[in-house]
Amino acid sequence: MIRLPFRLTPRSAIELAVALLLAFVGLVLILGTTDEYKAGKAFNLAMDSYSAGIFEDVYDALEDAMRAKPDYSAPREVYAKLLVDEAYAHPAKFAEARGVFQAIERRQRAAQGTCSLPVLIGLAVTDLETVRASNPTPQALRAAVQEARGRLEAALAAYPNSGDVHVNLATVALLENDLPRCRAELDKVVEVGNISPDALQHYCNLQGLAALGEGQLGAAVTEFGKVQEFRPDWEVPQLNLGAAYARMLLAPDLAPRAAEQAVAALRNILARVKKAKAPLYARICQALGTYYVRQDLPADALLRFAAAEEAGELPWQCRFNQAIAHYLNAMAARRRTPEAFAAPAAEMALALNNPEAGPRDKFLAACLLGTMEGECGRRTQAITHFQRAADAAAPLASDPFVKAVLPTVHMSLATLYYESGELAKVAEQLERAKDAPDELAKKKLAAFAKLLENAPRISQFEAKLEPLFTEHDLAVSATLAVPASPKPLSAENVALRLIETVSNTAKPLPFLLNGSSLYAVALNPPEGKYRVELALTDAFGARDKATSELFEIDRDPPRAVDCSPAEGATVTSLSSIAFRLEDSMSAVDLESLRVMLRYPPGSPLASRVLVSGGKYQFASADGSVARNSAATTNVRAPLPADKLLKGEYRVTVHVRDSRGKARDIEWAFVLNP
Amino acid sequence: MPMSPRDILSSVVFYLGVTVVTVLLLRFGTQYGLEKVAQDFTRMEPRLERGGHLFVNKWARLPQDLEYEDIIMYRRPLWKRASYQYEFARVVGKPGDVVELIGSKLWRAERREGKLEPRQPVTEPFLNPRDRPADFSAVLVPRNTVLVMFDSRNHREPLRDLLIPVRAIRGRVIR
Repeated sequence: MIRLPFRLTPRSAIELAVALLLAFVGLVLILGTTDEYKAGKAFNLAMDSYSAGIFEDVYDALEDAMRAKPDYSAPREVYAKLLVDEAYAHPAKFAEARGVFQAIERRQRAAQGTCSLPVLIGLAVTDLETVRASNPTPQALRAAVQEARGRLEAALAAYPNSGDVHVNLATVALLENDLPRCRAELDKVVEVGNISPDALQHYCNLQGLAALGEGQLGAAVTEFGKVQEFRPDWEVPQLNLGAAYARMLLAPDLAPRAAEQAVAALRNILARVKKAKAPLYARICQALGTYYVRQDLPADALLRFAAAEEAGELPWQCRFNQAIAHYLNAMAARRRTPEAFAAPAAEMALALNNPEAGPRDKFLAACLLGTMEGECGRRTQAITHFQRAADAAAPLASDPFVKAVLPTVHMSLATLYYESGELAKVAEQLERAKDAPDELAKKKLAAFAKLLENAPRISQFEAKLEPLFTEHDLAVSATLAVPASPKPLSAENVALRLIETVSNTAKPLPFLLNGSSLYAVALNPPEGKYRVELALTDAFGARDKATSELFEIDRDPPRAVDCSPAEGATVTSLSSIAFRLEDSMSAVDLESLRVMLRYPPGSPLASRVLVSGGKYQFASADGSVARNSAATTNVRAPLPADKLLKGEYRVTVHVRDSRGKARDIEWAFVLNP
Repeated sequence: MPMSPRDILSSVVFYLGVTVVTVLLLRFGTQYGLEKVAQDFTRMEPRLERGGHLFVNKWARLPQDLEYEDIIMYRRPLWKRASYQYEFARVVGKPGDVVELIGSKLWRAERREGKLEPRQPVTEPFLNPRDRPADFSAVLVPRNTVLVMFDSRNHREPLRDLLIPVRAIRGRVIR
């Protein structure tokens, strides 16, 4: 019998019994939940440490939670997830994580008959990643992806409202390169709306990748930027963002402002990935280099290509772009020498023969080779390359770049043909170049065509007789222009002839060219009627012609021929004096004709004027010549009826030609009746 | 001395009264609390003044207890259970909603009974119209989380700071 040291009233006894009963129940409850409490507290601590990123504490707390309550699944699931996160840096840990997940699965299936969603997803992920980490063959990888898909679809059947499963299915679809399926899974995430905070960043990352695959670079950049906002320490979105910006930068229709933003962003990313030695570094450098080439900043481009080259071997496209940068750099520095062009030309030649190079690349390579050869003065090679470019452009007719550049190629060909004198091909190339879409090119083309249309021109042509060294020298001067000709004016373009019109003979006249001025002198040409003819011909065969007035070179005054009586003759009778007046160049001025007959000494008269002022002074005995009748060139001057003594008679004729050149002709004969 | 029925009844009434009063006090004390806004917290001005006191319903912590535009109190840092400070922000998105900020204007597609409604612009008269926070594209609010924004939006916090997990929420401010 227990004896209590105090007395209890019935009321106190009831109260004490109730209190003891409650205390016992409370003790049982407290003791029964200690493990749960400890495990829960440790798990909370683990989750807080996980959120804070203090992973050492996470592991410790999780171990405490698992030790406190071994059948508590949550800490084991988190532990396995941590292993998965760690395994992305150390792929060997995927197998360990898979082992943990398998153990949890067995435990859960044994206890509940089902398995939690994180475990199902974890098993699918670790299975796939374990295979991926072992450098599998494409077939093995496809099989692993297929298996992961099967596991995830089974998980989806068990948990149909889970957005996390759709996120993982989207990842699998991306691994299968099935972009529409990936997009469909991502849409289902929004449709379901149930996603864990941890999966949200992966969801946004996948959105970005899907947008990148669909070519929506702006959307991709936005999504990757969002992922960075969610998790700034995650490297993957940075790399993806870098890849997105790199692709954006290489897009042909990028707005300048967007390009500037992309370059600024890439510079930031570049600094980070260089530190991390990520393979993306080389790719970003290549993209920046290519962008700078497009922006005509060859020096910057070369720096980037050099950095990319240091990070790894450049693909042929980058070597090609590097060669373009070298070319642009040489052009900008005005080093247009074969030495400066040697390296880029060699790379271009390789690209031309590279089977990986597309027709567009070959077109570009041929264009640049043509330009370089042209700059070095190797016209034939330049024509060959440009012709090759023109041929390569045929299948690329719809390409806007080729469409824009092709007229320039034809224009270059036209110029080269023009310079090499193959003028028939110039017009053909200009005709092909007429579709130039660029206003500047159109203007150049029009200027070229206009230049070709410009005919040669002779101005200020003058041919005149000038007493330079002799009294009858011929001076010719003219100003010549051959605007369409590719070469400067030369003697080949000029033909200067002196045409003698009487005999209709022509002979070339030597001339001197001083720039565009022509000067020629014919010293003392033979007597005759002349005309100077100047012909100017350009390289295209267009001509201009100038002809001078007719001018005469007349040195001799008229002369008397067929005189009767002839000089020194002895005649028995004398009734008239006859002769014929001739002037080789001009007409005889008959009005100036004066004929005088001097009688022999002893005659009653010393002389008689037979013709004066071109008129006969005496009529003839037979009446055929009347007194004061006009004389002609066939002069027959009757004598007066004077008694003519025997002796020597002298005839004096004074005559002028129409130019005023006068001559006195005199001859003598003897009369012996 | 044996207890009379009257004594027993009076004891029962007494203990019941004490229990009811205790429960009511506990109930009130745990559900409502007087909290003070930190002196340096300016992001909810002028609605919440620095250093001001306000009542908080500490039982309203789950998304289903909260309404859009409710001001919630949560701890910052979000993961710390000790050495934290309280912050206040307005709920703009609940789990499953899709929220985006376009041209400083908030658009929200609400989820009702599991279905996503069409996107609608949100009228927020308490904002300073001069504020131009950086936009963000559509954000799907994850489960056990609410998306909040401050009334003062002269700049925008990163999205990770705007998604508040339920376990960090301390209650709803009673205005």
